Amino acid sequence: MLKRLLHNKMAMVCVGFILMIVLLGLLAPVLAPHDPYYNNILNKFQAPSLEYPLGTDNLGRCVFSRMLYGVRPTLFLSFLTMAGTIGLGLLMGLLAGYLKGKVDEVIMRIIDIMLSFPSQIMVLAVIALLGVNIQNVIIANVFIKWAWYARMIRTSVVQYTDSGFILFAKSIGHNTPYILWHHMLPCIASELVVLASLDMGWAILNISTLSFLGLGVQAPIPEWGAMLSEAKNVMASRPEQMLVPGVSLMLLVAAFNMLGDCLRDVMDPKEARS
Amino acid sequence: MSTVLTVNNLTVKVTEKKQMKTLVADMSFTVAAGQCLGILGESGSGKSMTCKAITGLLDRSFHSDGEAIFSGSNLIGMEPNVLRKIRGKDICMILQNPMTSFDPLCRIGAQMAEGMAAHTELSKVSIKERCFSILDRMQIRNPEEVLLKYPHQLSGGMLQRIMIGMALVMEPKLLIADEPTTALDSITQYSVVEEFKKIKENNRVGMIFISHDLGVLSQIADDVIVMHNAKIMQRGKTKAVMTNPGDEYTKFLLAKKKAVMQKFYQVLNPGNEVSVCS
Repeated sequence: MLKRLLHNKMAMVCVGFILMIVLLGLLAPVLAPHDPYYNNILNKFQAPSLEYPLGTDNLGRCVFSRMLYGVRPTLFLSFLTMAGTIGLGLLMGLLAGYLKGKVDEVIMRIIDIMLSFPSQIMVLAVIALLGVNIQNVIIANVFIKWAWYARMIRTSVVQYTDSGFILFAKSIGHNTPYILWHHMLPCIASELVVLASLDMGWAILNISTLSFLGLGVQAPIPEWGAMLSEAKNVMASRPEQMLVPGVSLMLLVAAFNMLGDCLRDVMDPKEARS
Repeated sequence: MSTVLTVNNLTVKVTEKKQMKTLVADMSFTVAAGQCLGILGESGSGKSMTCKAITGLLDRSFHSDGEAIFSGSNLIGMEPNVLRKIRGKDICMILQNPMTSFDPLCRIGAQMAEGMAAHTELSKVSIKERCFSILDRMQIRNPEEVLLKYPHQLSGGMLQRIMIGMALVMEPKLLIADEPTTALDSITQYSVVEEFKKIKENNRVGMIFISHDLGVLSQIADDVIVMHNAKIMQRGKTKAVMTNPGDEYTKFLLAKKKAVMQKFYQVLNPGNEVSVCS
């Protein structure tokens, strides 16, 4: 399977691009020509030059440096969101699918309730309740998304619960956590990976959206959504200000989405034969 | 001969759409060490349910009553964690379909090792040695290679023999074989039955052998229970049941088997009649 993935050009391009972005984010202090917070109002809205590769923004800060530093909150927060979502979804899905009976009923009804709310409104409501804060953005995102995962994972778990090897593992005398961890998880991992990589793009967009609305990452911190939000103020006079954060967001999200598609193709058993 | 398992009035019920359905009714039998009890019956007659009830593998939608005394304690209604420790160590099971009973994502070696690791305190090296001795005992060639293979790379017969070996290495007091030959072709069936015969010769393990195959059962079972519609129709010594069926249903089963076999022999060499037991 790994071999097929390595042969898939699209997947490798996406992985390469994502890794490059991650590397840029990690090496931001080395690569950035300026301090992302250093403002010089006299230098505002400069065109790209050797000193400022992508120009400066409304406060005269280096856009290139801010973009590099912006990788950190954007990617890190969305990774955290996905980790939380998958963690909670996995736990609930495994419990519901494997234990069945009353546990299943209760968890599934909670999921039904969660899924019956429109997600963006829920996020806004949660943030309104908890206050504007980065942690709360993550909590809100996990809160609305885990139910999707729990439902998806439950379906796969139910499928495998009655399979021979789970019964055999039981008859050997393994305990439930061991069976779930060693036999159930590897079986559902492939589907999970596809879904997670597709949703990574969703998480990035959602966090940026909230920052754009001023509900996520706050003003001086460089974050792509927040940068867009600042650029929006001068949309009519300086539209090029929106290009850098907008294009980088778009490319990153596209890379994650296409990676997800490729992973699905690679893991599709029908593709395996060709 | 010491009794290993005594089952008294075992009843298994399931609630389906608010109706109680009896899957096993009032089942009683004993298994002694070195003896093999065969349970015969058609699909859905409650054979496997009996075994699953004894080993506690049924989920909560089933209700089992009665008692199953195994080394002094009742297995029915036992604390799941206590039962889990007995299961796989003192009571080993061999499941119906070897091709699906192994985790397709794990290597054979790892799966053999994890069973042993769950119940013994052996080191990795001695577990590996034991794996080799299992494969050796089950006459599987190239054990080194087999341990590194995935289940789909091995044949059903090999997997079934590995499963039998895994059960035997724990030196259980009771071995439950739930239709171990059903999913296999006749040649591998033969070799698997041979393995079971060897186990019997060792004379230490009590065995429950579930099957719907009269031919296989007549080869290894000492006593036989015939089940139909959740009830015991007839019981007795295998030879007696096979040659002299007292019960209508048993007669019916034997007659059907005989008809099939006769057709088979007619095709092979016309004009020759053969009885079921030979």
